[in-house]
Amino acid sequence: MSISKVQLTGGNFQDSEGNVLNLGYLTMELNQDESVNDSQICHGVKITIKLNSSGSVVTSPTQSVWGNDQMFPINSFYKVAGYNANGQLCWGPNNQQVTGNGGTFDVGSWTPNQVISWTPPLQPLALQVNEVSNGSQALLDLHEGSNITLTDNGSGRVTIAGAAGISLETNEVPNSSQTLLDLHAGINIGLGEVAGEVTITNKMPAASTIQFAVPNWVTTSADWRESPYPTSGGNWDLKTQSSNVGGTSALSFVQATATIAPYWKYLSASGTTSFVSLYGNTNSQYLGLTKIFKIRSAFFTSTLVRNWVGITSGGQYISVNGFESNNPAYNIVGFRYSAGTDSFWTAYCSTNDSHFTASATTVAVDITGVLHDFSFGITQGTPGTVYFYIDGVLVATINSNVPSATTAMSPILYSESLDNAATPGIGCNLVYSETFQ
Amino acid sequence: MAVRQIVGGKFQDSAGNPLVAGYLTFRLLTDGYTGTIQVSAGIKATVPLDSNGTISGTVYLWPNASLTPVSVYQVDAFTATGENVWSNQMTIPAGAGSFDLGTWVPSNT
Repeated sequence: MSISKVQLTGGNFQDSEGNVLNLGYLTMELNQDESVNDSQICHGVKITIKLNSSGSVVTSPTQSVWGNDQMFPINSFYKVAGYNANGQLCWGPNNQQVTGNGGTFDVGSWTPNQVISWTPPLQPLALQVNEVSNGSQALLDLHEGSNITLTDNGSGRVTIAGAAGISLETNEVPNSSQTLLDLHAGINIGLGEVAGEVTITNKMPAASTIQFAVPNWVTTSADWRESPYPTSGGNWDLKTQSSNVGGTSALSFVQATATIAPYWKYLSASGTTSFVSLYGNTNSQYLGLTKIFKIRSAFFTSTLVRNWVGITSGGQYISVNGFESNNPAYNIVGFRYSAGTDSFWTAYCSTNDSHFTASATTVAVDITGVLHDFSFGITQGTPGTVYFYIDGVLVATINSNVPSATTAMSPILYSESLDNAATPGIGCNLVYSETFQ
Repeated sequence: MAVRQIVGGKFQDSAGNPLVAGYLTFRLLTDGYTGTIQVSAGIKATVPLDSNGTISGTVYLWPNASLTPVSVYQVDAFTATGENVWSNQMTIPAGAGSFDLGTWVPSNT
């Protein structure tokens, strides 16, 4: 369908006192080249629309223009200026549109500088932050936040730039992750975070005292040698004790081989409740200071025996059968193996015969005579949690029914027969303690 | 491919007054070739308009689709007094018969 021009009418152009632009005129100029029907409309030609004595568009002869809503490309407009008869610019220039296909268009209906036809239709601007309307819908004044720089290029573009990025490095080498720095505490280092503040503390003990006892290698007596050497007795004052229902116990030294270090060996005669033991006669081992306590020992049977290795406040009661129980009535920190009850070595803490915690490990009793390190210790300042190790491997952690930090205890190495046919025995070549002071 | 006749246009102002005796100029913005023919961009073609603002006489131009590399024409329309009133970068499509410039939608570039 062919498009027709639109006749312009009306206007009543006048000044603010009501004096009309008598015999004045309008000029109209397209903002861009357009096409309509099969014609090219040249924006470079400014046309003149005459006004009558009322300041309105002369209607005879008719004066017509192309409707902006009929031309292509879309969204064109006219730049319109109004002049009086003397050629004085009185109105505009303003951007205006004429719409329609044929018919008339009253330019008096123009709102200066307001478009009528636009694709897509003009929408009021909505200013929002995170889908929530801003308090002001008339002003959007961007402000720089911390580490953000805003730059207006003066042509409508605002560039948001972050401050120089943080480089996460370790010893001048960039970390594999540049987005996460998760501090972990190494050995003897403490880390704590409160309200974004990370505190690094040195948990290295100021000093350690090493105490140890070894057999008196020059004799087959039950005598043990302790360091520091006591003026009388010993720090632990290690003693041996046996009960031999069916015979006598046998004490010997096992010579070193290519695979086994030398050690002191104490075998009991067979018989129910027969036992052999090495124990401290003086309670002088305090869990609160125990960085590590270790007994390097060997066992020779796991059949129908009950073994204890560790520290206890009840060593002096061995001779009165105080350990002929799976839950002796003493403070104990150590390992238990009781045939028929335990399948493996069991970490054990107790304060008496009714308050105890047993935590099974997965380490079986080695009956080959090979020495193993049975050890445990605490983290300085937290004696309520005991870490148990066998041959240096953490095998259990206990934090209930743990003897107090100030309970005095002493070493115990004990093996007892639970049957008339069993022959308990123990081997040992070192009792060792390292304290936090 | 061959040159194609261009016709029509009806160049006029927004009030419908034709560019009587005006003229168009065509200039390729890049050199091109087609087959064994080199087409020079440096030569501007001037095409007269008649009393209706329509191309006068018989005028043939290379369709841009026939040329390598991709090209456009800088097309300008002038009044009889030489005032530049229409200026766009346009292409002439390939096809049979003549091409009516009146069907162009100005690119305004």
